[in-house]
Amino acid sequence: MKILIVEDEISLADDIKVYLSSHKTNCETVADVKNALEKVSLYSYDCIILDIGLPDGTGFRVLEHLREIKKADGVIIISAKGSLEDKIRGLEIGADDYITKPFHLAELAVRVLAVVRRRQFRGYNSQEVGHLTFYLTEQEVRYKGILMNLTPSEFRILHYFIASPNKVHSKTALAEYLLGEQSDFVDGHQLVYTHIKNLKKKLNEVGCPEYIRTVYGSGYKFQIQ
Amino acid sequence: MKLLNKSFKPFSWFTLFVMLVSIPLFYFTSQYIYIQDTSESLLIARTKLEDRINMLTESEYTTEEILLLLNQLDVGYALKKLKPGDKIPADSIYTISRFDEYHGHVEPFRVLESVIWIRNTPYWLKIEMDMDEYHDVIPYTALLAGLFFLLIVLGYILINRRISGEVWRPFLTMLDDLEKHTITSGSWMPKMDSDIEEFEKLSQILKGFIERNRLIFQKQKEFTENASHELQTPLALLQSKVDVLFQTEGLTEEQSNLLDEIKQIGSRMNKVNSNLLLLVKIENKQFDKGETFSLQESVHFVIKSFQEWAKAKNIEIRYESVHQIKVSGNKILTETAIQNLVKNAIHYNTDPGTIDIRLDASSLVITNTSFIPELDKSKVFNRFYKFKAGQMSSGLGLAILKEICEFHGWRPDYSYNEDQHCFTIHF
Repeated sequence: MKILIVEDEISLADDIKVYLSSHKTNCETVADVKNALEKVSLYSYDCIILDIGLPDGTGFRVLEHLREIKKADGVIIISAKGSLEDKIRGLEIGADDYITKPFHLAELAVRVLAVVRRRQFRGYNSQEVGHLTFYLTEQEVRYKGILMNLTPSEFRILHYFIASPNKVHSKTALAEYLLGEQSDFVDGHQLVYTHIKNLKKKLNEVGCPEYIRTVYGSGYKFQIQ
Repeated sequence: MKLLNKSFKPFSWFTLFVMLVSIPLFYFTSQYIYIQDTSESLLIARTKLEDRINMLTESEYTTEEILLLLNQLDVGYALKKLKPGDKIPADSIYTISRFDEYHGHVEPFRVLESVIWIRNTPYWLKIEMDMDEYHDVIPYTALLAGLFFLLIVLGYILINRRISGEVWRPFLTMLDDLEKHTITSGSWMPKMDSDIEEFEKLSQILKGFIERNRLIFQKQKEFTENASHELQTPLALLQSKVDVLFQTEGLTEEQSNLLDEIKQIGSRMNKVNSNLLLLVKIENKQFDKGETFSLQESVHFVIKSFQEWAKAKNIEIRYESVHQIKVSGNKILTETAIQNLVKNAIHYNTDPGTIDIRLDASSLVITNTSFIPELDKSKVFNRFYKFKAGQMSSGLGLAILKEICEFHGWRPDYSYNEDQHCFTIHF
């Protein structure tokens, strides 16, 4: 999987790159419109993470160029907080999704996965992770063919995990993902704790190995052994 | 009290006072002058009489004849021969009141008692002069003064009305405009169509004030907006650094917990920041309010998004709405307002607890149980109002609600009864 990160804040671009890179995912970064246009003209990406405010123009120019040269790369816009116009304009020009600064990297990973899946598997939407099969449209998960009886929240948490496997996830980011930005941390943590406990139990019941592990006391990790 | 009445009132009192003082003053002055004049006339009459009688007795009449005639005529003169050896009395002049048959009522008389010499013989003379004016001057002066007072007051009222109509009109118009003006209502300038120097000066000063205020307000908004925007990148970096740091090998539990707390702090800063930005944007009227949407659906959408959290806290949300209610405004803002209310209702609720949401054509009422006591109604919608220190909230949720309500022309309200907090939006 190839991802292009267009972000003028080098430090942030590097973090995104480090976080999203894996043996299956290759990330490239550029910091301005000129280089971004060059890259998208030469190569195809599964997903382009596009900042709007760039030193030599706006990210919209990259989007427009992509459409002109009829490329179907997935695009996620990183928009400034509260600029609704940016979101609307971006989606109109053909962006797949948007995320507002600041964001949790795991949240970005979920968006990237969703965009990539939408682009790659039009209509049929399933993904194999270890012995687990995710049916995204139906919101179902099967372990070796056995249907797991998951609540919508538990499904969302599993989906969150597979978007960035082998990563340690903080309770806080998970709670915000589940309850929304405005939620309360104490309640959120409690909820995450309860859901993970139930999720582990359900995975255990169908005979799934311990894919979800609690690390350092306050984080969770999804790992296929 | 209106300005015109304010100046009118003391003026009237003053006029009344002057009038009241002037009536007796006028009366006594004229009385004094009159008495003086009468006394003078009496003395002249005495001398005249003395000279004439002396002249007459030289030729035609005897003193006795004149005496008899004068006393019997009784037209105010009495003459009496002093006996030899009698002491010659000094002149006396005084006023008496007695009935006079010719006047038909009691009259004041000025009387002079004096001694005249006829052919070197002293005679005692008494002259009376009636003072009829004495009677009539009082009522007439009073009447006239009253009349003048009435005339002055009436005149003043009429002039006042004309002044307020013509001279003060531009001032009053400007006052009205000024009352309607708010700092957010754009660049209105006070207009003053008047040739009065003070008014023009006032209008100039006001223009200056308003313009300066507008600029300060504009700058403040710009500053908030810029500051918020500029904070977004460092906040994003903070979040991403922690995310990356979280992935490093060999973290201890303590370090991991600390990192999670840093993430929370980052989230809190982000909330304050984005709420501030939202406030500025609402103030700037950067939102369109031309949409028509179903309130019922908006409330439903918000409840659904919080269902998970509510369930985790064992809070029962009861939603009751009468019928399909459409409003026009901004859907996203309206949902943000409802979201803030429901969020608070969950956040500050007891476990277990209840939230009652009632929607009808005129209002949305959210009532909930809570562990916190009654809030200060006068401050609850203020920015950064916290019912106690150290809260995790941004302190802006209800201020945003108020701002959104004002944007739509709605009215937020808070009440507390039977241990339940109740927030209402009146449409």
